[in-house]
Amino acid sequence: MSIVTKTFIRRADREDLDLLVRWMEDEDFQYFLYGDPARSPRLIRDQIVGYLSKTAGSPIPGSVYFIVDSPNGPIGMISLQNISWRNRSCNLDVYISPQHRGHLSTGINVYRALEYAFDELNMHRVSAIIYAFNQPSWRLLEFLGAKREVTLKDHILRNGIWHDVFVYGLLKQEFNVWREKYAEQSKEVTLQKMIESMKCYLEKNL
Amino acid sequence: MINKEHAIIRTSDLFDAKHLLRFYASENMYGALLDGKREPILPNQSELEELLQNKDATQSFYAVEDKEGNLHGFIVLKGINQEALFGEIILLFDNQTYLTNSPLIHDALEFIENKAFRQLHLKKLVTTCIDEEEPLKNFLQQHLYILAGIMREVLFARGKWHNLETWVKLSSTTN
Repeated sequence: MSIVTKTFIRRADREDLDLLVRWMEDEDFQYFLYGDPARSPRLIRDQIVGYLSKTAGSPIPGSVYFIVDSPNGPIGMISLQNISWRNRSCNLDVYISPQHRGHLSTGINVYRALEYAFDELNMHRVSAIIYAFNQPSWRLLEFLGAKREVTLKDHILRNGIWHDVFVYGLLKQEFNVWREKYAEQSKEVTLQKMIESMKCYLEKNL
Repeated sequence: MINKEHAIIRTSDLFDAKHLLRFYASENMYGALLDGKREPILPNQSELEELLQNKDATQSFYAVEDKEGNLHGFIVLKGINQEALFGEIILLFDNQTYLTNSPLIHDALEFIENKAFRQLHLKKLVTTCIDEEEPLKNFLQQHLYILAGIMREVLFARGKWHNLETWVKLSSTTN
């Protein structure tokens, strides 16, 4: 059986700014990713503007921001941050808006982003720091072949409760083994299919 | 200036820059000297002087001397997370200091742990090292640090991949 999705990932644009700020102000975003509810929205906005302008068009960007888009509008963001061109490594962050979580499309889009990291940016390693309570995220990464390398016990405090923090690592050769193993199931998840979805979206919206 | 049994510990100043540079230029690699992207950097002396004059650095960067005033290394407490009550320590001594089990490093560690656990009430200290730093790892183990995990093939240097180890000590394991 093959899997198909109408979602696609594209480079984040300045036009996405308001949406990104809205997501970053979301309680869940702070709970799962960067937990500082006291951060000023203006600073968040400035930070995102900085990210978007820094990555635009650079042949060796320090980070890459993708929007997970769909015919019904953007549903999330995937970023490759802290790119080290010397070590060929980066950190993966994923945010999917609440109503779209738990769908297969998240996995497909993370797979796409990893494919971009390994095949296009020639990364050797992708890391992810995930809180233990964020089980769907670390289970997805484990499914994609990543290994839990570091466990920091009681390392983060959320709503008065201590949680462990995991560091995951996925090496290029491990990703390739995974890709080989699931080649049959993922044969419809092609770049061509994504381009078709994107074309459909552009025709409708422009 | 803290006068311990064997060591004299004081905050670093710009005159320590040339000693610090020795570690960057050493043939040994130090996980402690990697930057945020885990890349080795090679600063020059004036950049290190600037670093050591930085307000944050002067409060967290300590030089460790023997009683004759010879500088042997550095110990650093940084990245303090007040909410989650942890901090990161950096131990910067050459391998020989560990191999000879110099009392200076024991004094230095005792000082920084006392600061972290008793004065700042942190509950955890974290430190990282490259898997080849055997003398440091043995020292950490001897002082009840526990290996929290190994990030594989994080650093590419000298023609090969290196792993980065994370070691942790809880305040509850100190006396």
